[in-house]
Amino acid sequence: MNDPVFASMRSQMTPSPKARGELADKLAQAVPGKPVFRKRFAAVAACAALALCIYPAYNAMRPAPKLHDYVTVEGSGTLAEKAIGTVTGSGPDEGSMGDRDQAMTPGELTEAMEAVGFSTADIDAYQDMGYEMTWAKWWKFVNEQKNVEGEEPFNLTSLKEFSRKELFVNTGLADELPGGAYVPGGDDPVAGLPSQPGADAYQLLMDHFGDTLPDWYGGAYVTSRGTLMVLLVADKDPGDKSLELEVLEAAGGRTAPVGFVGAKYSRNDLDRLNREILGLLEGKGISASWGIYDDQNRIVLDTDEVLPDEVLAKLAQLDPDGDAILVRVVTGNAVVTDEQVKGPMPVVPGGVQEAPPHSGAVGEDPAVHAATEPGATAPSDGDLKAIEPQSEELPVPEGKSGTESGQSVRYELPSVDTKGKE
Amino acid sequence: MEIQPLRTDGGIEAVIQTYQNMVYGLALARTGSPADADDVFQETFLAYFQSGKIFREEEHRKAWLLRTVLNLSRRVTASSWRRKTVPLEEGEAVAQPFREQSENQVWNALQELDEEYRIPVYLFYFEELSTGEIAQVLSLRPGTVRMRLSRGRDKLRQTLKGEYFDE
Repeated sequence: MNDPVFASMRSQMTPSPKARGELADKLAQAVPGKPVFRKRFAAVAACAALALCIYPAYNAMRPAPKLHDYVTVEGSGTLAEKAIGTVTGSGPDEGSMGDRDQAMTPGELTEAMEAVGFSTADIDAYQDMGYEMTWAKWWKFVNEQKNVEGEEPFNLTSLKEFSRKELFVNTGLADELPGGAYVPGGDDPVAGLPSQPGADAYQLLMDHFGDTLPDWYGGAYVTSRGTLMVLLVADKDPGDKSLELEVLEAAGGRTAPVGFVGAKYSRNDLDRLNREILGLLEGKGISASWGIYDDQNRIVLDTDEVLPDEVLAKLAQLDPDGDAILVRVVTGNAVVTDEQVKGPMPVVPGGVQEAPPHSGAVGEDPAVHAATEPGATAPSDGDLKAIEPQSEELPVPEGKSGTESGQSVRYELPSVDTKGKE
Repeated sequence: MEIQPLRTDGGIEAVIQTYQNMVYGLALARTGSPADADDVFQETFLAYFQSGKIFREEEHRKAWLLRTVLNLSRRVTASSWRRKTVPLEEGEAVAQPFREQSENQVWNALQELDEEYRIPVYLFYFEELSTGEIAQVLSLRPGTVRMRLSRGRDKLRQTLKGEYFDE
């Protein structure tokens, strides 16, 4: 490196005096800049203030997500008896949704039968018959038999006779046919028991459909008089009876005990919603039970706590019209039975039975309308659905029946010995 | 080097006195025109005065001035007006800016280099910056600077017959 040459050259590289003078003049007129750090600080502060103001404003202006409606049920007792899906969260409420169902478990039935003196052989024989005993029916049977004169009022014959009149047979098809129904079969252990024409029609209809349900099929249920009510979804010419004719042909002919109800949602839609709900609630620690109610053409979802907004928003997305899913928040130990979901079965003596309306206290307008059931007659005592007496919560004053003490929900019940359950 | 106030709005005369040759020299090497170099010199110190910057170290001030000179020089040389007009006196001024013939010979050889070699060579030999400092000012990797210095030296040696520009 040749430093002297470069140093000499560098020393000669000076701006002209003219440029130096002009710079001095410009500097005299110029305003010195403020420290940059202040500008940066001010910029950061301005951005922060903007963000603090804009974000709440944005949140305030942003439309809140639509949440699904729900109804609150207060009271004491048990919960829905038709739940298909169940998700149980952890905590003290676990199990509170299903273990107090009206239907008796085999163990409870065995214990109850033993308590009144049935032998093990009789108990086994009775349970093999497949009757679906409920607590209310059991106490009705016990009460009736107490008044029967004789040494052994609690015998298998009387219980079979009572069950034949009062109970459905649980064939294992209860999930397929609401309410449970007897379907005759060759090796069926309950073969020989009285047949239900509506159930037969239902089975024939399902055989006709095969594995795939048509989109116009909204579900089916059997009325208390054994008529199969089929829900039809299709929006069609009222004069067009082709679907009705197809169902009648499939269900056993023009004389089959089949009625028709208009419906909004197909059974396929409800099945899809059912699966979506499972996916939605799974793993969220929410106690809930739900199932498809064919007679209401909707899903009823019971929970013991108000669902989080996130879940309600998702339910609102799944059910934009708000009538495919009924969300019920059951507080306390509420009794929620099918009757409360549907409302009592209104009967027009000697005429047509309408679709079950809904109790305003717990339900919403269902998507079912205009039911027409052929050949309806006045109800008998056997049509009445019994409600389980709540002996533990509401003790009956001595000398008064459960009905008198206001324990029954909707129907007059025979007097019940509430002490017998203990 | 005399320590200058770190705030740009204080002691501006001292800063100009310290760095005027560096600023003007780099501007002259970059633009090749004394008139343009004068303009860049003025604008650089005006920008410095008005920027309000605070420098933690003197080296940062020096680096900032060098980058500003290069940016302003680029603006001047990129002007379409400048590309289309050549002042009458500029040719003579550029041809003989230094007193000694050997100095003008070196300067002319330097001016014949492409810009990518000329600026690193100028900063290395005239401003005595390290390759790392040059890399920082030019936003290049040090390896790139070393490569450009090497190629620039080779070209200068060819032009000057091996004199002046040693490793």
